[in-house]
Amino acid sequence: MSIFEDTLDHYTMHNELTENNIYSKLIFALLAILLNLITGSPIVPLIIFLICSFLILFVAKIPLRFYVTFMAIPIGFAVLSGIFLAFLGTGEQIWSLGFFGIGLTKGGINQALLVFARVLGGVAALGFLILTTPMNRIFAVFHDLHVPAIITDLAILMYRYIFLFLDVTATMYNSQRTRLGYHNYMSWMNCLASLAGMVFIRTWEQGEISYKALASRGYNGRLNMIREGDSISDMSIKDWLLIIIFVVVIAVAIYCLGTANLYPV
Amino acid sequence: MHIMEGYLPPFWCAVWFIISAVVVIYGLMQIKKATEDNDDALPLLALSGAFMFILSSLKMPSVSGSCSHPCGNGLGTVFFGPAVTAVLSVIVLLFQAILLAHGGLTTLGANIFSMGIVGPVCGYAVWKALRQMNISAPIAIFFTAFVADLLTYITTAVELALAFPGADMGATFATFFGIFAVTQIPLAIAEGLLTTVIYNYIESARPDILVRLGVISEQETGAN
Repeated sequence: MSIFEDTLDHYTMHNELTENNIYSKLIFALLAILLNLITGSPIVPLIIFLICSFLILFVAKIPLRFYVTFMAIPIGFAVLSGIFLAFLGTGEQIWSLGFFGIGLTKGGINQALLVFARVLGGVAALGFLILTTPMNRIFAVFHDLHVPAIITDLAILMYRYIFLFLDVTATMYNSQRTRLGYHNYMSWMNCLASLAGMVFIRTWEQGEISYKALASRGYNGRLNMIREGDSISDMSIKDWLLIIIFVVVIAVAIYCLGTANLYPV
Repeated sequence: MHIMEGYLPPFWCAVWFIISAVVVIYGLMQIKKATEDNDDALPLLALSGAFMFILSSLKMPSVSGSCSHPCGNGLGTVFFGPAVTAVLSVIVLLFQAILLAHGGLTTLGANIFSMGIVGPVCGYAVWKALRQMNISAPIAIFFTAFVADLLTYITTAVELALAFPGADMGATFATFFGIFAVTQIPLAIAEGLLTTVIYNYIESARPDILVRLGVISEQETGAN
């Protein structure tokens, strides 16, 4: 259960870009994700992937080891589904599987490469945002964007409770393990069910207690907090320039490469 | 298994966002109504969301040997109703994307539609229908969780087939669905069993919670 010990939260709080203006990071990441999506050629997402990985590893100084484990799961899924998509293409088959008329086609291979590259680029751009930005600053952005207060409040409370209950869950899980839980299928199901049931009851009791705690501090259905955070006008000219250069470079790349394929048709 | 960042073409990202937004706004209005009357509703909803998130981070063994995690949307829909589950799933999926890089921002709409809307709504219909027929709660909850989980994956298969139609849409859907059926039907059964055991556990320990949520009636707790 690696997520209990090794959450992203530690790294979002301790990297070289934590203190940077949230809007610089947010605008860059969202533009990268959008540009990544509108490309027709697998080369552009790969460029985005390289730029974002460079920023994550050498500017934000996230350890390589952590970045590799972070990327491993999405890439694993991307490879699997890429192989699968390669068999779905239309046109002349270059290698046939021998049943149901399924086979590799050039169109299929190119589509698989494009999707694989897009997933790489997209996850790296998303990774840049989530590895460098603490959650509380994202909530400040929610507020600036006039997301309904009820969603923001719900998200803030949920974020707090998730970490409370991850601790509780990890403790219970470890104590079940030390008492020989999870040793076969049936015991796994039983342990998991009692764990989940107990966590639900705990969350419920905690909810009653925390409502009383909030109410005793004047809670009336709204969380009123002092919001402090960066504003979009605080972004430095350097950040704007870097973002504009990035967009221009990618836009030129999209324009020049068109739908160029890695695998010749 | 959510659809990853960058997997869907822009057109389909937009389509699923628009469809999901309509339902989520309706759910938000429901939540607003619920929180206006009593102010302890919001912390409880937040806790339920946190519970759904933690549930989806637990590993669940599957008969086919692979490991997966429970969706939790079956339990959510029975406890809180489909509209609220849709809103909770938005935040859960957002947290999964920005805390675990599980799913993505552009594919959020599609994931909300499959996990937060179709699964819970169908599960809720099954739950209501079975309860109307006086079937006991544990059995009804097994089928609810089974249906909610399975339909989540069927919807995902439809979304993928629409985005990558290939030569023949029907054939593509059949392939996607064939793959999902092999891997997901055992998982859906496992999730159904798990949810039933969780439910029984809660029912024996704190039946008052279930009564307050309107899952079972007062008489039923007395009978047990």
